[in-house]
Amino acid sequence: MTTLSSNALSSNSPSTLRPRRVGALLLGGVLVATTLSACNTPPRRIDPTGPESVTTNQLDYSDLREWSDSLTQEMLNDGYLENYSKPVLMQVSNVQNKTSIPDINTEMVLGRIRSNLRKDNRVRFVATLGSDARDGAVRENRELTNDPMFNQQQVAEKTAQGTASVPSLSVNCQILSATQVTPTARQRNYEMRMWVVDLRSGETVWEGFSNTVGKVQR
Amino acid sequence: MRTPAILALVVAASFAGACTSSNVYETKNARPNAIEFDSKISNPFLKGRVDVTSCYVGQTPDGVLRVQVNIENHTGGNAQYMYAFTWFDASGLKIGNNHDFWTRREMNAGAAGEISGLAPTKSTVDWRLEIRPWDR
Repeated sequence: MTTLSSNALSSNSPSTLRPRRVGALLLGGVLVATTLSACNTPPRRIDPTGPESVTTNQLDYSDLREWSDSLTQEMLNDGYLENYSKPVLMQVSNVQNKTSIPDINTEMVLGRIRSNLRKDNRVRFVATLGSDARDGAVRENRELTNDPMFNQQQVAEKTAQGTASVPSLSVNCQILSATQVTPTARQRNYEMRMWVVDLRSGETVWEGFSNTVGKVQR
Repeated sequence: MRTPAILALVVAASFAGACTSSNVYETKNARPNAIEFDSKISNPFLKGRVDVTSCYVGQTPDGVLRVQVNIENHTGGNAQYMYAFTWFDASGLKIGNNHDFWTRREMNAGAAGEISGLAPTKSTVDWRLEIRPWDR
């Protein structure tokens, strides 16, 4: 038995190689199948700012949401809007990205701040001036006069010259970053600076910073 | 041999449960400026680390509800958590369906901190705060 067994385990015996190869092939097949099934894991919805959300060394969605929330809180807690009759007309003038990240979605932050400010009829933004959410249709519709395609009575009523509103305040923002590097770690800090200018007096009537988002990579 | 293995499984399972549940704090009655709060603790592990000590409510200059919840880290290590406010009008209806998000915070060992929330509209009279663990 012992000798047979020894022969059976000999690598020169073709009859004993077959089960080994089959075993190896099976194992390989299982590994490949496992890998493929891992790659084919179907996507699933998650809470975008919850514990499962991914944290990168740049600006994440949860960071942008936090910025819009903290800046709105800063603005409304300050109370500067109380000096103006409601709704205050605003325009977004400048949005500057001064970080090395090329594609920060500033609209996501600004849009939510605008939406928050608009509630309770505190603020209205004009779509005719500035650099965010402009609507060219306002100016385009002013050019319908004498266009035979359109009802000229309606054109006169709805697109009369001298009816567009002029904003009182201008909003400006900058995305800023500061990096600290040591031999073992790199820390990036990001924040959003925002200020509001009274367009009549030229004075900055409010200025604030978002929460600072710090990311470290070792 | 089986007993330690079962014990280890039970401990592991309880830790796994602790990481997925959260604690909820909310006003005890309908008065908008009440400083009493009611809580529902489903994560005692988190409560043992970060817990609410008191809460204050106030208003912005134009009359919007503000909430400040004071918290403490009772442990000897840093504590990571995330929180989210939900806001309600006088009818008990949720305001701003689209505006829920989790804010992440870290507290030093033994530190005291504040969680601040600003209601989305003047019609907000009630709030709820949810805190859950954040594993970085």
